[in-house]
Amino acid sequence: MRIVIEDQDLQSLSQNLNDYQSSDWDTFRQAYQLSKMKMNNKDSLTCMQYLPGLELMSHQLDAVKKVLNQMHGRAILADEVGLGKTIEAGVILKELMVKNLVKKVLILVPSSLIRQWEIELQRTFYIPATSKHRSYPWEAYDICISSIDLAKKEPHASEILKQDYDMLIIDEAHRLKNPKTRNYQFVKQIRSTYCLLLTATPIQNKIDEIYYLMSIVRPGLLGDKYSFKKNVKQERHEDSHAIQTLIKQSMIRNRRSDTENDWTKRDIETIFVDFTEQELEFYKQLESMNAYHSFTTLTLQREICSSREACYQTIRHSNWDDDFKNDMMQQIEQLPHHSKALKTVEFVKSLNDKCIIFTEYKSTQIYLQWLLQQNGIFSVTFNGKFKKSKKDWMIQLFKNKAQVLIATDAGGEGLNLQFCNHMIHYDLPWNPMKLEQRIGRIHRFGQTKDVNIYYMVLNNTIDQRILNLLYDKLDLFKDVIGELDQILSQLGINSLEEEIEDIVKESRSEKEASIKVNHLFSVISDSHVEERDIANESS
Amino acid sequence: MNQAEIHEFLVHFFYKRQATIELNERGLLKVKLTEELDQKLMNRPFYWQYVKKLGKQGEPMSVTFISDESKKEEKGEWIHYGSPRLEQLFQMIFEEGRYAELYEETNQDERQALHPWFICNLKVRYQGSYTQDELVSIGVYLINGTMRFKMMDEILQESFVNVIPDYCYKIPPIISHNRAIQMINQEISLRINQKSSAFEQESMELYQKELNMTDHLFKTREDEDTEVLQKNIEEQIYNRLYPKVQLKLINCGLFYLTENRSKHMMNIS
Repeated sequence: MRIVIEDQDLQSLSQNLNDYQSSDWDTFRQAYQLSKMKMNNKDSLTCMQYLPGLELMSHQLDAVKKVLNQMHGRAILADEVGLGKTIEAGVILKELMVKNLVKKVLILVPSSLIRQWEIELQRTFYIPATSKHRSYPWEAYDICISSIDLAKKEPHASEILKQDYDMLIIDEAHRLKNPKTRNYQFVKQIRSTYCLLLTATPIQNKIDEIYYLMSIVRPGLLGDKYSFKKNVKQERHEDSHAIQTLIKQSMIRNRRSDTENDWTKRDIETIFVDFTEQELEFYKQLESMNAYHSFTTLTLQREICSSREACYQTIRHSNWDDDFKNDMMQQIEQLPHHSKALKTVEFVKSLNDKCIIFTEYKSTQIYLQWLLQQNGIFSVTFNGKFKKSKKDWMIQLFKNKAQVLIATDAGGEGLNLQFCNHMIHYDLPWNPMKLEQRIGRIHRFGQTKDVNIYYMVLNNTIDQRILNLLYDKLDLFKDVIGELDQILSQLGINSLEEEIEDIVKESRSEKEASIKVNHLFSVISDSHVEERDIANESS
Repeated sequence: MNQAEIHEFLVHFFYKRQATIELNERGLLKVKLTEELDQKLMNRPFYWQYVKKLGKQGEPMSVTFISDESKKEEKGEWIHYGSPRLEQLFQMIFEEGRYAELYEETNQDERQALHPWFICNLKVRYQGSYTQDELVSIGVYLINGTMRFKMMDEILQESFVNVIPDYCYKIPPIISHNRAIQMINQEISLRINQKSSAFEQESMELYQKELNMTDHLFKTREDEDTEVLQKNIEEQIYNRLYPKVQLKLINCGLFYLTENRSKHMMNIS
């Protein structure tokens, strides 16, 4: 018999029995009956009866059961953005805690999400999780939330590596996929019985990345590095799916299109704006510089379509000769208020409802806030560099007081803003993934209203070109968007944004650019058909 | 326990522990705690520390518990199955009720003997390829060592008291507590081994498979990572998958039963 029977309780009972005081029959009996009530059955999710306020969507329930029963508590949760990975992780954690299998937990998340995890675990799951405070040592925490950036630094790292955790949860785990980084090296050494990695994008660039995530969750499942690489190559030739099948053993990936939930509608509207003559003149001038350096030109063009300030900053820091530089800067100073900004303010006024404005540039962010304020509209800003407490505060302000949140893309991941249903894309991102990440902030689990998306586009500028080139065709791969990263990696494309930039730069005519983009997109949507099940909805 | 039963539970809990019930309507209960309850439940050690230092009488808190959905908006603590407060009360019951020395209540006015039984209630937790709990209640007759399973369920409806009833006398145990505990341990282990071979095999296969995967990984790899890493992984696999059975004590006690009941218990085992 190889079974291990742990009978410490009975062993120590003999010694302690004399110290015990006798209870009455009623209490003794009640203790027995309550224990009976709290028994766990092997196939049931015991914790759900403790969480009467929580209703799981069917794909979440499936995911939770699969992780617990088939994957035995170690898995990659890779649902698409907004499908509730955090909820799934919370239920899994709760179940393991209810079953007494887990007590000591380390949760590593981006610092912007620490507070949110803390609140969610406490309020939704009644799990007493606390964020790491600098005056308490790591071993003092049962359930500790921290950021990986803090945790990997000394003296924290070596303290953490001394602990024996029952469960390790890492959110936004795609930060771990480069094996050469400190992040990966550190996480790999953390001792933990159970482990969940959460990411919406398990593969961003290369299929190798999944290998490294998997080697944290289930070391050896994909073999060693060399044989894995060999197998990947071979599979491409033979069209076999052995690797996918293996990956599915420890990864859950639900897509929006697979879920039964009725998503609210998503309405998209483009708002066209004209530059004033003065602005257009300056824009043309930038365009004519094309001969010197196309990259800079393109950047400046995009910037001037956002705000004078964004463009000004770049020129000021450029290495052009001083005369030219000063001349350009003076020209910008002469420009009137930005047409797009004015239009946006006007639009926000007419909207008379909460909305989020996304911009690519910090200077634009500040400018917009100022301009809104001049018009009596209270707005808050948000970016990735804010401290945790400031971020919380900003979101609170937005929720309760401000009409507008002006955000840059950085720091947006993981934000839940479903109380708002208008989003203005002040600048159009060139990467559809980015667009999806943005929209996912409001069009997610918990959104009850239809979602309105607005693109702000300047006529006859790079804005409009991109709109024609890219956005009109987004429909082509709206089903693929979630797996875009993975398709791109298989096509050997590092960044869609750079790819499109190249096309715009190098094409001699609008027609040529359009054809190139068409080709790129049709390759992508074809791959969609062929490759879509690498990490498909789990079987 | 469903939501409707919670109110009843709360009333019973606080009444029994001498709290003053200030308001008791459907799904809403306001109680003034005793000092002991306040210290156990309200988490304000400093208050009680200061009060004691100043030599004063502390003022226990009044708390309102709400368990009816329609009264959720009223001022008070919302209690549901799984809420931390209810868990806290459960824990108190587990703590208080972990041991007992009790006598069966009897109204006869003849002299009669009460027979000693040691009762042990355990949660048997199978953990490996799956996790499963089993409730085991065993009684050992401390005179001849007869063992009786499902003991608690047999006596659940009976009444027991803390003081020996009139006209009754105890038969002194021959078998010690410690011996009884040993016997229980042996018997349970035997039964577990007899009936859990499917569980064992399933878990063992899973465990071995996972271990082989790791083995293979480290055998073929020369580039990085150390023995420590492999050891960590093996430990993790052991913790999760190796077939283990944990015997968790719920409570135990010395019970004196009337002769009739004692005989009855021995016959049906």
